[in-house]
Amino acid sequence: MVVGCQVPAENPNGSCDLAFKYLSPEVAQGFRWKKLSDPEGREVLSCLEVFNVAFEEVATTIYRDSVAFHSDPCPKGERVVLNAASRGIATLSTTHVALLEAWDDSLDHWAGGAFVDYIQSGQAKVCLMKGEAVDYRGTPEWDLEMLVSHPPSALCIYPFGNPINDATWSATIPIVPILEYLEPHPLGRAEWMKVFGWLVDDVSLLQANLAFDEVARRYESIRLAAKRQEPLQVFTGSVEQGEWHAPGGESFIASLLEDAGLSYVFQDRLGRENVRIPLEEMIEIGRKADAWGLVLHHSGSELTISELLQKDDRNRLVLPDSRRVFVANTSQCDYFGWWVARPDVMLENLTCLFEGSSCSMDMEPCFKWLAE
Amino acid sequence: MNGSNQHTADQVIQASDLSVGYHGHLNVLSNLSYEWKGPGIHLIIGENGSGKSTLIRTLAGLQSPMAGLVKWNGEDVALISSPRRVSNMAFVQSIPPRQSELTVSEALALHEPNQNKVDDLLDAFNLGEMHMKSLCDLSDGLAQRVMLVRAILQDTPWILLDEPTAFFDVKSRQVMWSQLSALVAKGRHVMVSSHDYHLLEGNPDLMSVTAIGADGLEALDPAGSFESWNASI
Amino acid sequence: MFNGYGTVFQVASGMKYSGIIGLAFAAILILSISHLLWGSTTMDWGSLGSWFGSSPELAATVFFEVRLPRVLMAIAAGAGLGISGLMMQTWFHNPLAGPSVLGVTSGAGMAVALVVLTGMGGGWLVNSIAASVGSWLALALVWGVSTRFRGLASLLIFGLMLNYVLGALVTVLQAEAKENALQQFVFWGMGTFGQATLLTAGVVMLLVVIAIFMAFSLHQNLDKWTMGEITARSMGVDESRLRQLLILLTGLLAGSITAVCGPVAFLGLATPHLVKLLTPHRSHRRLIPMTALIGALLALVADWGVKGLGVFEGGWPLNAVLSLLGAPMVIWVLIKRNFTHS
Repeated sequence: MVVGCQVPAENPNGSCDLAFKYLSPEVAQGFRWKKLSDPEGREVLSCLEVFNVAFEEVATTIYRDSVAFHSDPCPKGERVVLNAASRGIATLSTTHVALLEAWDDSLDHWAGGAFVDYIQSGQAKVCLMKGEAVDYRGTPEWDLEMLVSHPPSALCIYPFGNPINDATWSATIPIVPILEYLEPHPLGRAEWMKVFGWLVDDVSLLQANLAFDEVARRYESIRLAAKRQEPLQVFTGSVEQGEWHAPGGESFIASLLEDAGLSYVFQDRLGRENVRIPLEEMIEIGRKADAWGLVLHHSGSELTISELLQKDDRNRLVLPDSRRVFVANTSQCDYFGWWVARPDVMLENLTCLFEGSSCSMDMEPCFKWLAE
Repeated sequence: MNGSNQHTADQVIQASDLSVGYHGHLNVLSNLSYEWKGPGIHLIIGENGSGKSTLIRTLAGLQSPMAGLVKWNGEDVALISSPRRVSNMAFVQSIPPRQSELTVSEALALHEPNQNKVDDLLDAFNLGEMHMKSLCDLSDGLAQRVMLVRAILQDTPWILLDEPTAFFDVKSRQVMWSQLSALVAKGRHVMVSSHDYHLLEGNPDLMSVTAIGADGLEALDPAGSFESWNASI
Repeated sequence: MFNGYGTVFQVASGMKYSGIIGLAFAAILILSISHLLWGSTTMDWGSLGSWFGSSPELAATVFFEVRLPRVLMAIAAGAGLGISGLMMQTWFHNPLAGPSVLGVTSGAGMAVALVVLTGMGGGWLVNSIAASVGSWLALALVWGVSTRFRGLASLLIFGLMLNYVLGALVTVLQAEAKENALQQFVFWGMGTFGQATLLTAGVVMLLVVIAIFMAFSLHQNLDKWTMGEITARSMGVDESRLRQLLILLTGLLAGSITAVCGPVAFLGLATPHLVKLLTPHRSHRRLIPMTALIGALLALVADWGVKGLGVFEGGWPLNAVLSLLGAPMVIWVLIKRNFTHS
């Protein structure tokens, strides 16, 4: 999607031998900046490259403005130019709101979002109520009229979530794919907050950098302190269609558990996606493990182990003999929002869980042990 | 469509070394050479399964011959254009149109836009009160009568009927035959296959009687007795 | 077959055919205007003219590029699917046939599932192209085998089985898909008029108009067809040509509509029955125009359900609204059939 009347003069099909300097993020793998020269010859960060879902090649290149667009002799993938005239970034996912809020407490730079019912951020709700942020709906359909009349400077989506058809007005809305959900490391996921900062301006990028650095620093210190001699065996996942589904060894949850000084039983089963294990195999793994971790949505009273067993008969089979289950209840904690942007607190939560009663956190933990 | 004047000339249906049947099956009847000519009722009789329906449909040009030709007035039917075929021959199936929701007047309007002419004909056939009824809501007997009226309205020299009275009660059958006789009086050519031939015994409008027997087609005496016809099939 | 609709409404209101047509036109006009006037944006009506200039104002863009295409698409889809359903029901002598019996919708669904669920991902343009290709492939398959089947029941069952096979393949793809992709596919399956642009709505509208004229030109043949194949043939109906034309028209109508809107439920199946409830006429010369109008009307009504009747925060997905409107109608048809068929 291209904004602007002129296409760069050159761009022979594919024969681009120029070498560029890139600024890559510390941990994240899904994006990087390409250093271009501005008209005065200075190196500026005016161009962001986002990879495809396999993280193999650049799928989208985003330019701050049309000057940057024209100064790139070798553009790759789909080219998007941000809309400087509009104010604010529109989001599709609650995670993206959190990645904005991580460095922008008041969400000044949030134009609005879709599926607002899923957003748990208090600040976001205030902005919506005050009318400072727009509700773009989404259920059952996106409010295209709102998109036209309140156009954001960028619309951040997952690659699958593009609500825009090919009407002429859609060319004025820059679509930015955000791939934080594919990052294998929790810090990598959080580092996408820098992208949101960059989408606004350099000052915001600086704020995002600072916010992330603090998160990374805390994460690292907690990680080092959590090293154990004999890590406890932990598994996650749930039963679906008669099989056990759990994140694979390269998923972010695996990294998180390992960094918390635990041993993830599926570590050797590689892949970022879910692994599927026959239930019979799972029975032995489950019972011998030290603890079982779960993310679920349970509203009402505090969930207990007996209630968990009632939810599905087969939970009884995989329950560890130790009867230790730790659960993140998404109805009570913004697991998909705020906690994505704060992997340091998540790590602290996990290490604290296994520390025993001597550990306490400043804020309400997300993962908690289930009572009987 | 001017009425009966054009029907006074003698029309001919010829079978020329004709074999009839269905694809993939053995021929039902083979190597027939025969001729039906002139206004009047041409009756075709035969036992069940002898091929009456297949024969009459092939003669009507509604089914392809397995071999040989069907000729109308000397022309190969397969080469006659569809519009000319439609203006030359009307057909009444043995099964009434149980799936058509068309009302009687809508069905008849397909041939005759003049509602008055249609009403007159309906009255003549004692169907006067039926014109708003759907074909599928009529009893089989009534529906077949409507189909006959439709065929008449098609205003063709030939009307071919395949077991038209299969669903009729006795009284209706007699009515049907007298109606067919009335048509013949106006110069129409009627070919009909039927089991009712005992009702046609001695009918002066009977032009020919053809029996389908083991050896093919046999011409019987139209003035002959019902028993004599019976003996030949 | 049966005709047990009892022409309840017609008798009650004492209206002639032309009266109902006039009323339908008026209702379509009123509903269209209501859709154009109401939306989530406050409109500066004076600036509408700017759309014809070089830089249109916001209100003009909203009106001409969001509201207008949606209304046009609803009308085109309702009319097109209604006509398609009528032709299928007449052709198959079956009151429960619809445009989907020939596998058009499931062919489109299969193609979109392949594109979306295997991660080739795509916006609405890619989905539309995939849907078109899929529905035409399914139709080509049906066309190819239709000559080999004796009897309509065989063709109908073939279409049903094709639907099952394609549906099963889609289920397999769904089981293997990632959550995001699955969600997108589910959204596509809900159907919508809201993804139409002025261009796509215009193209579909044009195709629908052409198809309706073509269908109308066949009205006598369709009437003759109801009386049985042999009788129809004796009245000059060329069965294979009629079959090919109907398959082509179904492809044009259902295929193009599914490409832009996703699989739209019930309009094809229920509209002809609603029309037959409103009028005692059964000749296609009368049924075709009324089916087009009533279909358009139903679509416009359903779209208010999607918009939450303008009152509620969120409505329901299009197919849900249509099914809630359409299913009671089909039930009514079945009940009437059981009680009045002799």
